[in-house]
Amino acid sequence: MHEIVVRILDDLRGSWRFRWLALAVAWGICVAGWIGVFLIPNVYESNARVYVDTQSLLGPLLEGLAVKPNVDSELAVVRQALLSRPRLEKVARDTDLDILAKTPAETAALILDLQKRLVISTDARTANSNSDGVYRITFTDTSREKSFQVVQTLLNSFVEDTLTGKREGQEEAQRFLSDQIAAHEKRLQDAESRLAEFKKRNIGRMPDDRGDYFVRLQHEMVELEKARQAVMLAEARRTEIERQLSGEEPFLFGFDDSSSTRQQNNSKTGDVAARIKELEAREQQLLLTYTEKHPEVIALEDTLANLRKQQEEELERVRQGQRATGSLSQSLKSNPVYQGIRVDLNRTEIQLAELRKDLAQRQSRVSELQRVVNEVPEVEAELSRLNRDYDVTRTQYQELVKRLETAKLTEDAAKTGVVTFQVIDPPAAAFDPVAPNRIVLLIGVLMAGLGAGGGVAYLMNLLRPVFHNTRMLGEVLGLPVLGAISRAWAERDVMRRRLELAAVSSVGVLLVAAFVGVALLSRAINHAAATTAGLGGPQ
Amino acid sequence: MSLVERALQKLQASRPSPAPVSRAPAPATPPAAPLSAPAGRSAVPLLRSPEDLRAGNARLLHVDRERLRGQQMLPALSQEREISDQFRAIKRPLLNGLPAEQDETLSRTIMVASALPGDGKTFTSLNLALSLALEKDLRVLLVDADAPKPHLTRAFERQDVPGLLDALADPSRHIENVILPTDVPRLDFLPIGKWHDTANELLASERMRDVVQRLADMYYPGIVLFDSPPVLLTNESRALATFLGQVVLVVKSGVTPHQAVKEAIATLGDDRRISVVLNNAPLGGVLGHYYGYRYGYGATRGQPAAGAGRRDNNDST
Repeated sequence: MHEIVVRILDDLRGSWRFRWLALAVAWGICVAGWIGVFLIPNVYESNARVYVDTQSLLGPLLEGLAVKPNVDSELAVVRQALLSRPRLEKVARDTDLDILAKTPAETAALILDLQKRLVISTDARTANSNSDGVYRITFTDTSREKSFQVVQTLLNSFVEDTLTGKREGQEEAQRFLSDQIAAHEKRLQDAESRLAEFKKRNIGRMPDDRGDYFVRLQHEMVELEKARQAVMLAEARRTEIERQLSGEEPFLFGFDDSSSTRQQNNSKTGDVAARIKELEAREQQLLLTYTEKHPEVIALEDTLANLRKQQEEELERVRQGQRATGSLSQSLKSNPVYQGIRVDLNRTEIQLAELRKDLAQRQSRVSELQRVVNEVPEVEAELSRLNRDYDVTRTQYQELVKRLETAKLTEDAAKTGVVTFQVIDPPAAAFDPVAPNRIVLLIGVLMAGLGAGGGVAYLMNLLRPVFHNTRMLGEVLGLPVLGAISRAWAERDVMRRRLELAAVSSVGVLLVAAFVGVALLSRAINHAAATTAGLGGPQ
Repeated sequence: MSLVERALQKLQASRPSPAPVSRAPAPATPPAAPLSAPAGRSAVPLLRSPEDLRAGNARLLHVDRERLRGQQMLPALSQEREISDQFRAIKRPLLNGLPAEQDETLSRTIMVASALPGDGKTFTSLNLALSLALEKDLRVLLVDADAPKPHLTRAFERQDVPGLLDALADPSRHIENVILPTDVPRLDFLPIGKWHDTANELLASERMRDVVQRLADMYYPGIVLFDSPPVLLTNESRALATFLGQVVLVVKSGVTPHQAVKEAIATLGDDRRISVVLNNAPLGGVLGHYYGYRYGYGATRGQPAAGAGRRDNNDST
């Protein structure tokens, strides 16, 4: 510690040798620096506070986003909105800033410069986490008037735009929506008519409530099979009945007496005739309502023919062997069981005829369906495509209509007083320049000067070191040191040394005094500048 | 230094009215012939011993301390004790370092040198000589060998008296005859003599070597001190350094740059016996004791009356 102190003292002592040089350097730097400080032009600042509805500005960008934007991005948007290039060009024109800019490149540079110097910040007074939409617009210039003009012109131009209500964007959007709706409406109609036309053309070939083609075909085939089965059943039944009928005779002979047989025989012949009469009457009756081709009529015809043939056979048989069989057949015909079976047979035959007709019809229907087997799927695919097309168009149309309604609502809301831009504090420019802070600069120059002076002295001491004590002597030279002799005649020197010290310190004090003077001068100049600015410039 | 004063007073008291006794010039009395043929250092018979000189020369050189003080050749009265203590401290290692052998007479010749002018050679050599003369058994010769600026000779006002240069230039002149005994006991002074155009060459000549040897022999076991020109500004000091036994280099504190001192040492030759003295050391200060003169300074301060008393004495004489 002691050594360090000694070393520092030695250095100070050594540097002290160059006190005059140090003072000269300090003075030189201070004078030059102070002149430089005075040559820096004053910078004035003007500012205004505005309210900007960031939500309306940010709304379109933030659609569908749940995250709240931070202040920085809000600032960026506001900046973009306020400092657009055309607006700045207008400002430059109105404030005559563009006089100096001759070429387009210079104009571009000027606009860029304006963009940089126009500072938009969140208002300091409300600056918490969010800006609440209040922003401060600041512009600095060496001319107070100019700085004021720039801010004012900028605000004016923005206010104008707001008041004239140029909502280009919204109108554009609505027009677009309307056009789209019209187009979609037409498309929708087209789709509708196409679908109707198609339906008209392909009636019967389209799937209905019974299901599509294949379901129907299958159904028809099942039905056909059923009809076929029914026909087969009916035929089997008729065969059985016929067998029973032919097998009844022996059975009847055994049990019938002659009287009853005769009676029966008579009745039987009479019965056939009566039945023919009956059927004929019935046929007449049917023909009144149906044509001859009606299955029932045809069936009746067939039955009639059979009956007539039967009657003929009966008569023949009676004529040939009246004795042997005539009575028998006579009696047989009059047998009630036999009669019942015959009725049954008739009925079955009629039924069979009906079933056959039905079968034929079903067959023709199936074959018809099978014939169009290649066409139907195509039709169905086309139909579903048309349907889909129609559905899509309709959905879009509805969506557009909804949007248009929303847009109209929004515009209405905007028209009924949702403010997007409002001047809170009109532009104002301070009379005192904001920069340069001359006092600080002057102090800085003073410090720099003193530091440089001290530094030079120290450097010189390092460059030209001297001896301060015997130990240093021994260390540096490596020779035996006999001793030290005090400064003789120190007392006589005292006066001279004191005078010199006084001179040194007075020159130093003079420097500080000069600083004070310069500082006062700078204040006076500032004051004068503010006064003249106040007189000449806008308020 | 009060001791010197007292010794001087005693001496003056024991020798009543020395000045008017013999007006005869010293060089006239000795015959020149025996010295003209020097054969070697011990071989040459000394014409006279310093005692003979002193005895034969009634007119002693008066060391006027007031005048010297006025020329700042001696410390101010207030610093007298302090600085005499410092010289005492300096001479002690110097004397202790001297060899005891008879034939090493040359080692008792000391060159007081400095790198640059104004470092305080003359002050140092004079005060060192006075301090050495206080030793009871030590005869001291102070030689002014600074031809360009003979401060010592001027201080004693002996510019017109034949001196070292005359003896060097004229082989017939004996060096003993130009030595001036002073009224300080055991202290003699050799002035530079008349200015000579070839003073530098003379001081660097072989004759100078002989003279140095002769003086060393003559003053053995005393000390011969040479006040020399600045090393870095003159050529002869280097030659002088080769003739002399050792060098005391005076460095002025806070003034002489490191580089100058180093160059001076290189010029004198690394094989020389060189020791250093720091002159002009700063007074007191925060760490005054560090510089080693705190005691002396304090003592001086403690006895302010002593200096005043001496001054009265001096004035009266």
